[in-house]
Amino acid sequence: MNSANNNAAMLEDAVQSCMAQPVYGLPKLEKSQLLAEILTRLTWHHASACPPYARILEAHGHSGPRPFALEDIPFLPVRLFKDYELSSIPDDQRFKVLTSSGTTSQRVSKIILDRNTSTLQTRALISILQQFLGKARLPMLIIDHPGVIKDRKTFSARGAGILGLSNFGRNHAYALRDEDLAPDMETIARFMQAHRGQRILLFGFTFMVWKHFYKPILDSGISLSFEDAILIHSGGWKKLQEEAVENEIFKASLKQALNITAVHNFYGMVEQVGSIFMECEYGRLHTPAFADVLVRNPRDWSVLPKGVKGLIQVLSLLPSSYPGHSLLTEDVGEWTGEDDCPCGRLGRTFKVYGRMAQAELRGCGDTHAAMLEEGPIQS
Amino acid sequence: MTGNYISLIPNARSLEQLASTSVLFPFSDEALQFVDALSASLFLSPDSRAYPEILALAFWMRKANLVRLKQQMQQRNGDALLVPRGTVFHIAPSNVDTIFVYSWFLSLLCGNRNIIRLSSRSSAQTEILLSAIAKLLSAAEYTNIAERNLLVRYGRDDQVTTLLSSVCDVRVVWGGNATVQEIRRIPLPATSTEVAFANKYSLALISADAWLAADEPTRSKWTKGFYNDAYWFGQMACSSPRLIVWLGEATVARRAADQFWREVARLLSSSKTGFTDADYVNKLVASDALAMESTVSILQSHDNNIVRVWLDAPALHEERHCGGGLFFECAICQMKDLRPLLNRTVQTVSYAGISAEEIKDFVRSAPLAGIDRWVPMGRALDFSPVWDGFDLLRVLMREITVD
Repeated sequence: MNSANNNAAMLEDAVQSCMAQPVYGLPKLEKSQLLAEILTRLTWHHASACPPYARILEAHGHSGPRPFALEDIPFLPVRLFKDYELSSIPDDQRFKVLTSSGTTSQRVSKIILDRNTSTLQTRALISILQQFLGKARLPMLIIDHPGVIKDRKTFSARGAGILGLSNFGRNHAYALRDEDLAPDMETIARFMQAHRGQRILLFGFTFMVWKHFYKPILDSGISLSFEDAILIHSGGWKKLQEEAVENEIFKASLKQALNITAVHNFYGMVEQVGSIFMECEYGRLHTPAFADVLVRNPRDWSVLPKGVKGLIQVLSLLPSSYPGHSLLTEDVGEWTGEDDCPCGRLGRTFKVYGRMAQAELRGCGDTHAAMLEEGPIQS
Repeated sequence: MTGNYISLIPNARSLEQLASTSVLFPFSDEALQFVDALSASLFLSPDSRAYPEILALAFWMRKANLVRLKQQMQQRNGDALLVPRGTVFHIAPSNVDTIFVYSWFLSLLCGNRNIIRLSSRSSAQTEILLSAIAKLLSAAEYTNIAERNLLVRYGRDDQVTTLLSSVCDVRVVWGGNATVQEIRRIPLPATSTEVAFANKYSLALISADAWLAADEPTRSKWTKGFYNDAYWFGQMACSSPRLIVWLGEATVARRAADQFWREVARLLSSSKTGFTDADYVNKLVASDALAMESTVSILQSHDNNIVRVWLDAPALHEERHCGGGLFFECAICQMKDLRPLLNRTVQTVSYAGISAEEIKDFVRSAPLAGIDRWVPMGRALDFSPVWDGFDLLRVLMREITVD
């Protein structure tokens, strides 16, 4: 028992020291060694704390604590969290349970957090977003309708995501009307008037921004020009792909029509809250110091080199309360570089093309949203 | 009561016209000629060549085989007086494209009128079959057949199913358990009957000693046969082997199995499985899920086209299986160790290295809780008029007794 406690304490120290590193400042060799070491420890920590996880490791032939190279860290398919509640903590240490939303027939993921993992997630999110938003809270215009967070019964992961990100803003206003999701021009004008000359934060889900904000404003002929706005958005491109809208078009359109010059998408999931992957000024998604991505060949799970499409595996040091530190997603992507982005941030960069064909269908704006939720939803 | 369906053959008759047309004699010349003509047209079509399951169907439809079917039927039934039941409504499955033809033709050979419902999900194979069928049915010489058969397609629509059910004497339901349950809620005329084919699970049984002792041609015959059984239809047919049971002592079985899979991997490397990324992920999810519930080893294989899960304790784990090249494996010391595994969902056992006599003795020794058919490895997907324990040629006819 004592040695288990010791191990846990050592693991925590290691994670803390990695979190203390500059978010985008760890060079490749150093990062992969550090991550491999801590992820190895996390793997064996979960093996001793989560019996079903230990059984999976054993079935794959991993027995006894031994070190893994980064590419050899065992991974779980992310869908397992929909069918099973996997926890590495005693029930009395449950702090909250995150769930992804889904439409009717879909199952939801259940992610079990203790206070420690939850705190790490919040810290991680803050340290990443501060790199883009600065330390001060900005006036925040939410590209959604106020009702999205009000009705607790239909409280969606979208609502949870908005609440989570609201912590990074102040003087919040909602840009859309409850009754018809049309832009609330009066509120928007008032917000812009009140914060003239200040930098402002816009946040919304990708398809909400496009379909309910950008397009109606464009169609109405009203001219709206933000002076200094940064837009952060997420939730997947599936709905927009149907309209053949890709990231480049999205950004160019928002700049041209609304003068929103800084637009950042991010990739992340409820199964690894906190370690999100932000898009930089050059359109690349960046891995922070405490997380990484690998791309695997679905044909044999081998690790793919730069520029080759495959399934994305996400690695994160944050999950210690559930075995979600190494997950194989159902998203197709490729990695585009390492420590060589013109934006100057270190770490691996990558691109996401969307969900693999014929995968289990999921709703849009759901799982990516839940990752931002703060405050207990259940438990 | 109305319903909308799309007829898949030109100049289709209405339901009323169909009902007012008389049935044919069992194994009538018209029916035999039509089936044989379709066989010829599929053999000639360059489109069919890419699909071994279509060629297998065409082979089954040859006149020689039909004559054999007729003889077998007569042998089994002696001088019983058999007549067609009337109208048979076939509800085809969406996972195996050729089943609708087998089901339809057995009934056609019995002399029945037929309504065949195809699912709205189409495939290249289905389209090839449909275009060949439509072409033949529009020829003047097959008017007798065209008048008595209706091929329709519609989505999930209880109204249409209710309408078609109301005019049939036998309803034949192919499909998963959910489809069967759903269709059963829809009433049939009081005098009608139903034959339903639910989800089934199949296995392969291989003698480990026989494998190790076998010469190269025998091994190659078995692995090729197994490849066909398992990989046509992406392991999604009811008769596709999903569990491989090795008959033999555990370490011997593992040795035989490792050799066997090396050979299968070699076959796979030169063929296209058509599996998608989702298939590979599904298999990982299924094997990890099984690992949580039971003691298993997920064994290394050449690539993800073969995913092997070795079970410490023999079991079916049918709920865990997702197809697409996922194989559960176990070893048993004696045939009788198979008994506790069986339940009614077990359909086909494809065997290798065991004699048919041994199997018959085993079947006779005590009633089995499952298994409908035993076939030599390589013939799991062969269609047979006795399916899931039903003699379809018998079920689709009515016997008249004269005392």
